[in-house]
Amino acid sequence: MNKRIAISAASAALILLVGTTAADAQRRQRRDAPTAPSGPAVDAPAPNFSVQNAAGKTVNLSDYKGKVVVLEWWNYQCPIVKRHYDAGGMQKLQTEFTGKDVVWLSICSSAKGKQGYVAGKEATDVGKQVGMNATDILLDANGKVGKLYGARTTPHMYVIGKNGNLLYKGGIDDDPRGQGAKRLHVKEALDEVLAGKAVSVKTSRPYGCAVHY
Amino acid sequence: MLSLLAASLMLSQDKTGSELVTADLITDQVVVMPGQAINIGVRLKMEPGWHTYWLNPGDSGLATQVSWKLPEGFAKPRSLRWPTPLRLEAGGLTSYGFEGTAVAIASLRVPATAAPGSEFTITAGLDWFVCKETCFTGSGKAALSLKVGSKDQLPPITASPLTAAFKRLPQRANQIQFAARATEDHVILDVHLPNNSLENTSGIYFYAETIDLVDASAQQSVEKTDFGLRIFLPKSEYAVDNPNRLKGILTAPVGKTWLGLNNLHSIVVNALLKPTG
Repeated sequence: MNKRIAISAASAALILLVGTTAADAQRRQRRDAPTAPSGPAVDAPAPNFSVQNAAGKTVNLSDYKGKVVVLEWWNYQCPIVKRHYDAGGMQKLQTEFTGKDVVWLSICSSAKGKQGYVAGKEATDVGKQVGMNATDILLDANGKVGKLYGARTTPHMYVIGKNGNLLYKGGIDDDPRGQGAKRLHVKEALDEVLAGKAVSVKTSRPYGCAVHY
Repeated sequence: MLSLLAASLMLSQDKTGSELVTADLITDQVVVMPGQAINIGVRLKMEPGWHTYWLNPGDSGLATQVSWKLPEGFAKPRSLRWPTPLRLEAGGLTSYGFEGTAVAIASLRVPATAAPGSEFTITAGLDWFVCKETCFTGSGKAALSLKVGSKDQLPPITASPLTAAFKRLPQRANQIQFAARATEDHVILDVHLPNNSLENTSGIYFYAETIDLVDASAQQSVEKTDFGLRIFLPKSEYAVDNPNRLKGILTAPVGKTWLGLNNLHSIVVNALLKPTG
């Protein structure tokens, strides 16, 4: 008897997984959409945060007061992130700008058990494997920093100026499909900031995998 | 049985991005006439639980790209009409996409010069982004061979695999007028209904086709007015310039259709978008 119940429950689950009818579609339309994680505005102060790094040490954004800071939302298993690391573009940016006294923080907001989740030494090891050259890897498994900044994709990039204001947020470039970027948004923003110029493109569409909160 | 279910889920996760989606081309008729307009369906079948993305993927993901390879004399289809997507929500983020089976329909015209008795093959190359909790990129190719006949040879259409697909496309409703304007924070869509008898507005949702104009995760508020409905669509924090037109799909209240007409579950919106100061 119990067995029979288990079978029908399992086949019902299979039917639910397989079939998508108009009625299913309507049932899925939840009326009360959760509030969107909406981040700080550009040219406004970048909110401070405290979060542990891969070594277990607490890192505050305010520790880097007076420096240009890049926040990179990172999920090493996301194919779009992989594309940027496999081609070497991300590491090249990290190397170039950390060499120019820019602080580069790679933040993982994948919840425990979700794609891209890393903890402790594993985070450092994965970073090494992909040739990451960031200042630090920050572990945000509870999604606090990600939601504070409205990070929605990996990668999702932010540039913070020496005065603590957010100067750029959005995509790393204008090339979601890897067909050849026309604009390198993060590099252009950093070049302008370091040259003491105003950032000309302050936002662009972030693209990639969803942040797995 | 439960372990079988678990095993089948495990199996689907071992598949590559290209194996998680099966693509083919479908049509109602395999014999066509010179000069005839024909419909071709691009059918995507996703593994259970996995989804691909609509034209506007929402907060994350990438739309499926279709590139056609057509025989000489064929013009590229002017449009590929996608069905109304689902709202897929996770972790406060909203994506627009498809689970199960999705069929997009392209309209093509057989060249008038096509020789009766000849055969031709239409090929579509597809690139998709497929996600459940994890995401993969994938690609596939689908082909369809058709035969050119003459009028007296045309076999009757017996089965119509596209009928169901057409039913899932958003429909044009000429009786309903739209007016749209953009403010700094919102896009406001006015829906002028000929007989203003909507009792209930729950389930009404606007899927913006333009990427990152409207915030996919934000609550849309729907107000009843003397002319019909006014819908407030919060803009995306990444909205830059207002496009000239507001394009998208408007779904009917739960369990209802627009104007009480059977086929109007969801309707096509294509309205001039006026900027307001």
